[in-house]
Amino acid sequence: MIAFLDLTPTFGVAIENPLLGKSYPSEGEVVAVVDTGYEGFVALPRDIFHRAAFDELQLERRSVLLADGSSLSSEGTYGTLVVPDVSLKADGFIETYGGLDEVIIGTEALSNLRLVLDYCLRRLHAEKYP
Amino acid sequence: MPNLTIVLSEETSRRLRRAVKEIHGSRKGALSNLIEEAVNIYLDKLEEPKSPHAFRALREGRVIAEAKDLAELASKLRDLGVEPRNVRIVSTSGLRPVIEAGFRAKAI
Repeated sequence: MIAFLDLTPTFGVAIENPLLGKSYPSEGEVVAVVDTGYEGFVALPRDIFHRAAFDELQLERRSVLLADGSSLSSEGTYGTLVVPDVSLKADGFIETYGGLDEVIIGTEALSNLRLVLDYCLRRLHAEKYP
Repeated sequence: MPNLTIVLSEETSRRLRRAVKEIHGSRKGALSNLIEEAVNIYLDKLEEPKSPHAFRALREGRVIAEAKDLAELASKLRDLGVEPRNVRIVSTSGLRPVIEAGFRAKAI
């Protein structure tokens, strides 16, 4: 599913941890919010990060700057984003940090797509970039 | 040479004609030359290969496996009998040490 929920663009996605053979959700998709202000690949709430077993791998750390100028410490490792509606399967850095309660898709993941946000008609069009 | 008919908006058409005049003056074929140059720049950009990207598994700083994607890296580690939990996975494109979060990130 690729659609606006109210005024928020969302994708139905699955997150895979190929190194440990885990994925979230185990079947079907989870709704992820497209956030063009987030420069990373994918950010997950801690519980989803744990359920996909990313916290069992060796983690890298970095800083995430918030809109109010403060910063948070983020930790993560590499995993796979699957967007079935556009046949996208891409590897990138999957991280988690405090205060997250939804799956976030950032601009690094979006660089694999041609994305059109039509707020007038509440239509979202995405296709995999060749 | 093939003759193509294209339709442009008023604004684009005005900008195009102004650019042609500034760059080439009123020489015959100037408009076609500029369009051909612009289209080729755009097509080259589309056809530009993305830089090759790989993932590596490191143990004690030494590369023990490398692959073009994580699925292949997982398979190589299995073949080597290496437990993925005991290696550090890195990307050859590196990891930015600081990034911006969007408005959905909240301070805790």
